[in-house]
Amino acid sequence: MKIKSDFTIQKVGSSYVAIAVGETSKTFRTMIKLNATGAFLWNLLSEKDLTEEDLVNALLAEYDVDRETAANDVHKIVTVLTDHQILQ
Amino acid sequence: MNENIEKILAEDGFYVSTTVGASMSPMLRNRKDRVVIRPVNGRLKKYDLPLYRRPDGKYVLHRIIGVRDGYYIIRGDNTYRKEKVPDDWIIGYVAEFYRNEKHFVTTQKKYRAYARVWNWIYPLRVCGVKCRLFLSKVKHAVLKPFRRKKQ
Repeated sequence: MKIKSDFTIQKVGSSYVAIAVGETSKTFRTMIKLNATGAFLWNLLSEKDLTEEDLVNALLAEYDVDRETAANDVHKIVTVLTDHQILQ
Repeated sequence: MNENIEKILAEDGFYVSTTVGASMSPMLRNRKDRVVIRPVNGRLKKYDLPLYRRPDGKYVLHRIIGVRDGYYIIRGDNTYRKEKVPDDWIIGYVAEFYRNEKHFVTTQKKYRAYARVWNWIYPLRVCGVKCRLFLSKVKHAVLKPFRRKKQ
């Protein structure tokens, strides 16, 4: 899975938000708030086609968390992105 | 733009979106550049970029070119008509914007200088548009006798 090219992430103060640009912004008019972990995963998914397992491993390498917490975080974010049809 | 911007601004304190249309071109390009809107706290200044909602419900993001008692004089950077906008139409202002990956804060001196210059050269821009229109009419009139008639 990968982030579709018509989406971008923006840092506003200490928050991160994802929005649509280009043609997609005609129908996708909301902004999705992400925390630092979400933004980290977003950046990975915007560059490469990755699986949930890849994301969990990346999270474990970056943050001091156990595998279960990392897997839960990844699953939550992937679910949000899937629900909003942001992934391809 | 989203239909609940006021609600988002009240809850989150900011709203991020692309801009729609060419009225703020060349600074903000249609569905490409992104703006960060913040709620208004007090009166805005000349050259600020307010987001306001007209009584017909349409959101507009243009530039303040005059500050008056109870209202603003507003015009888009790429438009040629002024609009009188009462204070209570204003719901926020552009605090930051992104042009490609370049980040601008609207309090930056460099940005304020750009806004001032763009406003100063307005008469020249009007002249340019009128000249283009005139030349297009001349070209049309000159070429008319040489055009093939449709059969």
